Amino acid sequence: MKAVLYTGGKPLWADVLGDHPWVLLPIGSRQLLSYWIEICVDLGVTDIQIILGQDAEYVEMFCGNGAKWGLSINYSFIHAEDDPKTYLSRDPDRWNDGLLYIGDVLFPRRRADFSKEKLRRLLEGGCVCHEGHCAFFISRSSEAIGKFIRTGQCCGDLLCIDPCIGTNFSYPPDACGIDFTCICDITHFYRLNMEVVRDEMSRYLTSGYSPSGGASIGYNVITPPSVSLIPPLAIGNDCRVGAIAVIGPNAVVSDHVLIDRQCEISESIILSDTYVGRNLEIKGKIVSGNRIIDPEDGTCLEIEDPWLVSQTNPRHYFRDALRAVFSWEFSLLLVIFQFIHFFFVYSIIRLLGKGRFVDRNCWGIDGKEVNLPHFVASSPMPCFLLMIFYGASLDRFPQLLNVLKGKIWLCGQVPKAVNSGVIKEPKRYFPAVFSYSDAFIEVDKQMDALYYAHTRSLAADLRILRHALFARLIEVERVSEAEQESACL
Amino acid sequence: MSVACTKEQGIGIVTLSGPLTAATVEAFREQLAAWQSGEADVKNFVFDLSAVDFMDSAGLGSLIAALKRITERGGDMKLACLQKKPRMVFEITRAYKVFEIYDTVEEAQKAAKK
Repeated sequence: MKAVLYTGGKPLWADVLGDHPWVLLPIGSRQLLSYWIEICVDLGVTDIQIILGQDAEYVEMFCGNGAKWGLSINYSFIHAEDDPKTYLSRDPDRWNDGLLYIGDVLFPRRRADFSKEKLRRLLEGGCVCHEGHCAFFISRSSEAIGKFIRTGQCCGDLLCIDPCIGTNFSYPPDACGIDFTCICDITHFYRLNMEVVRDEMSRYLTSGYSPSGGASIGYNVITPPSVSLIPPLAIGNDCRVGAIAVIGPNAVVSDHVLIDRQCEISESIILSDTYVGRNLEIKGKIVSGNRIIDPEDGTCLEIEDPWLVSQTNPRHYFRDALRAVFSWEFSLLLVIFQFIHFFFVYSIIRLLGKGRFVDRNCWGIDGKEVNLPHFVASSPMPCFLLMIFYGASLDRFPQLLNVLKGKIWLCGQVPKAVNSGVIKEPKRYFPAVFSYSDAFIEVDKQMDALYYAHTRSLAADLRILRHALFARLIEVERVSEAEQESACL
Repeated sequence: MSVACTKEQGIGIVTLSGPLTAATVEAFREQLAAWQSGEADVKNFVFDLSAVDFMDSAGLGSLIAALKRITERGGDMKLACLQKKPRMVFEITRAYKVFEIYDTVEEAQKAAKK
């Protein structure tokens, strides 16, 4: 049996949520698409074809080749105006040994008595109708498959599982342990999330860690000790929560969300790539980028004020190009300006044996390995010469040459050493000469790397550069101590 | 942004129209200050926000600044007829804890008289 999952054709109600791919909208602790894939896994269907629509790259990035589920996932693309059955009818023989099709905003909601054995009853055949067409179809019968491909309708011989709409067929959901729920509007989407996170999360595999009952915490979630996490809640991967924030109860926070300090989030859904500003209270809302939506009536408030809520989407192609040009040109200026100073000061340091550069094997742009020269002093005691060296940022001179070679950025994140592990998300990795840790006194490198990846801009680079260059000059004693502590021979 | 100010039973009724955002707060501030300077005896104010369809943090800041000025002079300030979208800004920023908000201008006036 093969599975075809149709991810195009965005439902109208999801427009208010912005440009998030609808199949990646969260339900509880996971994306809708992952529940579909879970059904395939449970039914033993290992060959999956995903039909892509808009935002194809995000769906592809999420699923990859399917290896993480032990599946083989391939992709096809059809235009939004095309019907998925056009795709199915291109090669009808391909589905002769069985077809599982999912193609609507359908959440396979597990009942309390769900079991995989019950679910496997679906292999006998079944369908779910929604608004006159087949949203879910499974059959091994070539006749039923043929009719479905030709007409998009279910075969009359098939049992119909239809808890939402009501049809002439009856196939009680408890037979297969699943209520197929078609999400029909924004209120339904919100309530479903709240119900799942409150009562039903334990029925599914949750991502990341579940430290206590009713709480699902994803990977790489950074929460200072002062943060209160009140279950039930679900937090996705790569999130950062500021100090004294309160998350929960009944909060669904998607991936790549930044919640600033002193925020309170409850009874709400925060969609991925969203920044929630300092000291805000989000209660009974859906927040998607710079949009705040009241789920009860669908009122959408779009805020052009990055201090409140904003999008932290990594899709900044133009800005990144601009940053690259700036990064290169400013590095060239710095190299020209520092060359003579570096030559003289470093020559004296070498003559006096005060320190030298050591190559460190780090991950560069696009996850390529690069040797970054790192200055290490020979003595932990700071001397006047070293203070000049650090204060004028001459210790970064050789790294600037790597910026000119296009191996690292001028401003960004602290480069990660190769031996610290592979870069999981190259698109959010910006190894650089200067970072927030050079610009500000007390920073958490990991948190700030994530913050930079989300909020990077030319203005942010200038801010880092200004603070880094001046802070190192003004607070030279602190800088030299810090550098020597971290990199002493 | 237009600001219409009237005096009813010793209470200043300030009716705002249009979005109250960073682009319009200066006009709001100037027009309010100009009216206040001519009506020095008015201490209590009701701000009618029924025609304010949008507000950002700058707009909210201008209302907080107005509240501060009025209370420093021993007066009081009430808000009335907050629309759905500005109300959402008040909710997320917790500004509803700072202001007294009424559904109608009449209710706000009654409260201001007390």
